[in-house]
Amino acid sequence: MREKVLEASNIYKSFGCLEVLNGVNLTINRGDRYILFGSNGVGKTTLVKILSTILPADSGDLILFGKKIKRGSKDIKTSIGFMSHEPFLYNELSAWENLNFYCNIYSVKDKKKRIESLLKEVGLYHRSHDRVGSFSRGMKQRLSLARAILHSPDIIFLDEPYAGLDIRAQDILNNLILSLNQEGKTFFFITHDIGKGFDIANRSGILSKGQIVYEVEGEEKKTFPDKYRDILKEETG
Amino acid sequence: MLKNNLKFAVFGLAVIFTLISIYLALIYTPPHETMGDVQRIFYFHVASAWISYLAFGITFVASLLYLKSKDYKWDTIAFSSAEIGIIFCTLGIITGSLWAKSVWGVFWIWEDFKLFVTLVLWLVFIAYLALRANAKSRTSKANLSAVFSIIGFVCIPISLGANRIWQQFHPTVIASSGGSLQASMALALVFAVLAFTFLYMSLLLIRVDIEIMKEKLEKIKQKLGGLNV
Amino acid sequence: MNAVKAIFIKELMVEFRNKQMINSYLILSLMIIASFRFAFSVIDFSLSQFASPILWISFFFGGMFSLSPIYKREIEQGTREGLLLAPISSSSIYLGKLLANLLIIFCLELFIMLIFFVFFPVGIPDIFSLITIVAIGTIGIVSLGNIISAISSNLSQSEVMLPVLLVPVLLFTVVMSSISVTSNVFAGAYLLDIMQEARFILAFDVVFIAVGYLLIDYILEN
Repeated sequence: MREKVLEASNIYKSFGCLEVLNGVNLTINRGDRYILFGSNGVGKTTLVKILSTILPADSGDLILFGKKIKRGSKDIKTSIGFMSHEPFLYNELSAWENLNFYCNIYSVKDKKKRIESLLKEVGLYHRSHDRVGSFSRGMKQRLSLARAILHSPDIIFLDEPYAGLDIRAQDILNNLILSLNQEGKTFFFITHDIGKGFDIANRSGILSKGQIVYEVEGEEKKTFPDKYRDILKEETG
Repeated sequence: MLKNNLKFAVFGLAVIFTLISIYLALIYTPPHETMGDVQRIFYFHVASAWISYLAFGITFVASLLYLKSKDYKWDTIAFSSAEIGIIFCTLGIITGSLWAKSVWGVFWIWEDFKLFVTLVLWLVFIAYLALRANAKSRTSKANLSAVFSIIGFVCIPISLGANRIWQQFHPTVIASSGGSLQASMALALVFAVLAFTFLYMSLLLIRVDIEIMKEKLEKIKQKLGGLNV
Repeated sequence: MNAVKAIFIKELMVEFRNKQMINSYLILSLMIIASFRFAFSVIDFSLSQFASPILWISFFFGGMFSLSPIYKREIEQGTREGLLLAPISSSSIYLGKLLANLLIIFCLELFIMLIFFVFFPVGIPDIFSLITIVAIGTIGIVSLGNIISAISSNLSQSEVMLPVLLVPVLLFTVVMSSISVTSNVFAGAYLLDIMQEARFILAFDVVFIAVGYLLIDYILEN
């Protein structure tokens, strides 16, 4: 029985009168590479923000690494990494300074070594001291990935990670995911694009009408694209 | 059912007490020894001011309870109380100015700390309502206005302190409003305050109800509109 | 490293390179001082009487219109969630930003005071007392400005809402009493004479910082 790193039960979230999540249940095990698909606006970003503790749910339980998440739980955040299509980077600071700042707030040890090796891994070492404001979108996303794994989190959430990435950057991302996964890190991504990343996943699910309506694992993956199309058709009626 | 009975009862009391206090203030009490009939506005001025403070106190307490429980009903109470409070506050300032004119000859003096604090309160009410009007979502509206009402509430006594500091350097002799209250005048004052209190409570109950109905209507509209957003 | 320290350094670095706040503060304050100088050049007046109000109006308006980037910038740049994600409390974010802004605004005020003495040929009072009371008043402006900026950056028309929310809570508390005490300094009082009142204002400051520290969580969690 693999260790459960995330258990979400009956997650509800509304924005005003708009019900976005209607009782989401999800379990993620250690070492999973779980991809959640869903059409635009269905609530994927809301769900991933709730699971990564950025946003509180209206009701429901979230258990990460065996600990129940409450308002104000801070310590668990050291085990969580998050990469979004927003890079969370300060344009006025250099790549190095950005990573240094995040090292400070995550209390990362051996800062210099860690920043150096990460910048080399994402191919930005030669631009360490340039301001992030001068970076292209692809470079910002690569730096954002470095920021997301800086503190060696155990579970990494990715929100549309391929958006704006060129082929080289996509390869860097995929390679990094696979190598980190081999070290025992767990991944959870969301995307609306079934073409990218599907091969890399070991489990997939579909979010529709506020709930996770379909999940596959391993060999069942072959049936997934057709099922996804059916569900999308159902949504638009 | 019980709710409706309560509303009618409070409204009824408000009407009765208002009629009695009008009679007491305008007919029963004798004219003031120095100010004459103009002094009669004093009863409603004091009542308005006290109710506006009460209203903001309710807003403050409801905001605290909202932040603790995240139950929207407390936010609705806070908001409704502020809406009603600003009306009484405006009345208090207007009646206060009219009274000030007859006592001191000017419509406004900064030195009088009661007028001053009521003005600060009025501005805080305006800011609170402006904040709510510009909020981007139901939750942020409730959270942000609750925090602001707490800040505003804390600033009221502080502004009183600031006024005192200023007064130390620029002391002004404020003409006393003259004499102590006769028994009949005290009675009129008490009834005015009670009347306005019942009026406030009645308006609050009605306003909270309207707000709750509005939200229910919104929910229904959303459901009918469907989830294809 | 302490979260407050990390945010403090980051704020200083970002502001010194971006200069959003510095520019708007300087432009506004200088315009106000120049306007008053021009306005008062056409009439006879007692300069020492007006020195304190003019100075504090410059500080107040400067603060009011330049403090909005504190939190708005994080939202616009998308870095707000990066901070929420980190294992730091909202109160650390508030304190870090508060200390950084205090340093920046206080330096700007010293510069504005210099310009003021150049523009207005007023007798220079006891500098130590003046700087002390300006510092105490500034703590109030920046601490309240900080929390109100956090609130207004979550509203539509945030640039307009900051002054609307700030005026009732700041003008009649810290600014009014600071004007009063500073005018005494300009009239020749020393620190010892104004000690009691200065302590009062410092007490207000402590209350505002405490309120901000406790309530910032509810504002940032949106």
